[in-house]
Amino acid sequence: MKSEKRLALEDFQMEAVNSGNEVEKMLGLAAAGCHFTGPHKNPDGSATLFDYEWGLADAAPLRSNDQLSLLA
Amino acid sequence: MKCYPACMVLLMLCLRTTAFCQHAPLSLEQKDAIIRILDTVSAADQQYRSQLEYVQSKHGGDSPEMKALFAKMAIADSLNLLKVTAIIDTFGWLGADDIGRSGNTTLFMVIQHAGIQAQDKYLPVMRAAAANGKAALRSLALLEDRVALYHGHRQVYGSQVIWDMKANHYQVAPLEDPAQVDKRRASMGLPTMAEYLAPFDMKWDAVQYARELPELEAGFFKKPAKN
Repeated sequence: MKSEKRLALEDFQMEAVNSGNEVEKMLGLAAAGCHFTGPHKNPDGSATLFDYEWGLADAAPLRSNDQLSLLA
Repeated sequence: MKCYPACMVLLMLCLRTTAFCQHAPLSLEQKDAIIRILDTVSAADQQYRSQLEYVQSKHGGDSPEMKALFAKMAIADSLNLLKVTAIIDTFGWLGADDIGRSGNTTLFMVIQHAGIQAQDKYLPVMRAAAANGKAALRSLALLEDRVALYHGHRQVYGSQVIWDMKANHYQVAPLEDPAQVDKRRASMGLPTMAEYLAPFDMKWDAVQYARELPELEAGFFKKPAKN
């Protein structure tokens, strides 16, 4: 998944977040611009840690040249 | 390889920078190279994670296919770690004002997905960066929690949620002083527990959690989260 697509506002997929499928929810969150930092899995497969951050849609990466112009 | 020229540029720039002084101010050329690399790193970080839904729903959470996906994820995470640590070691923890919020977040994301040795090494670096406004407090909270759990301590900010893939069940990992967690979360710029857990279809009840904590803790720390 390209990061531009993952974080773009127009790619919000809140219907996925609201769906009944647990994993789909997590991926919906990722597509909605939430930072999806899981899963983090034990070697024995016993447990997996998830975390995420909201509100990164406004951090949508610009193309490098555009970003540079902003940073300059 | 698509990112090869950018990597080479970064390497040359790193060598040139370290020849004079450590953590020198970035030139536009350096920013461009690092932003490009981190953009690739970010995509690689999410590449296999984005396949979780398909693999889990088709093959199950405990399937060989899922294990293979985790193995690919681990390889991608390892390669990403090499790139990100090279950047941090050379330029320091670059802030959003240096490389954009996306690039800054990618530094954290890769460390968060790294092994405990790397997390232990870079947690103090990230703490210092956060104190100087170069790293987001909300990101630091997630790393603090994950490292604490690995070392057998309760998490402080309630960010770590256990997903039992076999039972498809979620639980908040062992948490210190549940009654005050929202105050601690607010201090780090995190939403309330109720808001945070809503996407997991979990309700937050600090009193009930505190009641269930001893049993949860006994089960969790018998199988500590390992990297």
